[in-house]
Amino acid sequence: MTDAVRTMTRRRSTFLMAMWALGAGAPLAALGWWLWTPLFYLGVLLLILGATWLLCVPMVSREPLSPAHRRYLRTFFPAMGGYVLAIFVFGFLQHVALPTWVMILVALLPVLPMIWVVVTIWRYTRESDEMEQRIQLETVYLTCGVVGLLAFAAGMLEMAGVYRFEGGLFFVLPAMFLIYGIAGWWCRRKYGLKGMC
Amino acid sequence: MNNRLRELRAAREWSQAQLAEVLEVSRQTVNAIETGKYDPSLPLAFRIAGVFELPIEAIFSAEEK
Repeated sequence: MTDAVRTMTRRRSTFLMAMWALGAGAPLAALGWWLWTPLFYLGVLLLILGATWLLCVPMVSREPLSPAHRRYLRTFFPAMGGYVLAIFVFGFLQHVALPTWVMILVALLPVLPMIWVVVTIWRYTRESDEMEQRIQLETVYLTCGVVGLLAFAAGMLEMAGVYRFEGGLFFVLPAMFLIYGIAGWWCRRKYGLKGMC
Repeated sequence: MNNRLRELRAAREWSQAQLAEVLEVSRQTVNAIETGKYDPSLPLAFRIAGVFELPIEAIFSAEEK
């Protein structure tokens, strides 16, 4: 894995991330269809993200990744793998009668790898050069704005009793990652860059 | 902001990647500066001036309106 990451290009990393999202999204959507609707929506979100990444692959350059980007990927893949695994465990166990303390542990299990991902993105931004930091600033601002507004609109609709979003808060983080990817692509275009991250 | 970065780099027969390595930025950043899509910070502009041994105003100039 280490050698593969060392020689990895931006295009190859985008392809691998697309494959990861599609590979994780399909079983999550299938499991969600069978067990729990929010899991189905999460799977669909990942499939959309994976398909978008896959469409971006031909546009991304074949340049080698920067050391900061390599470090980011080295952490991203295992952490996201842990997240999907923990979500699977939660999906299977959530309707099983378990003691409350076990259920708390199972429910909070997916949060642990996501802490790792958040720290990794923060470290990647700190280790990047000034233009990348500016792109990250614009991307994060757009992401917070869009997700915040969507959550606000959903909350208002719920309070009005018009529609109830099952597992609404559960989707805030996956939606942030989806919007972060799309906003990253949008912000990069301005600086003549291609790709989502 | 206008700049002569591409011209100065070409005169020294450096690639964007070589200049990027000296400046400790990515090649994409050098490309974005050369094409006018990104204006460097003052510290980076000073580093660029240092590399080419020229005053900042000999490399960067305000955009004419």
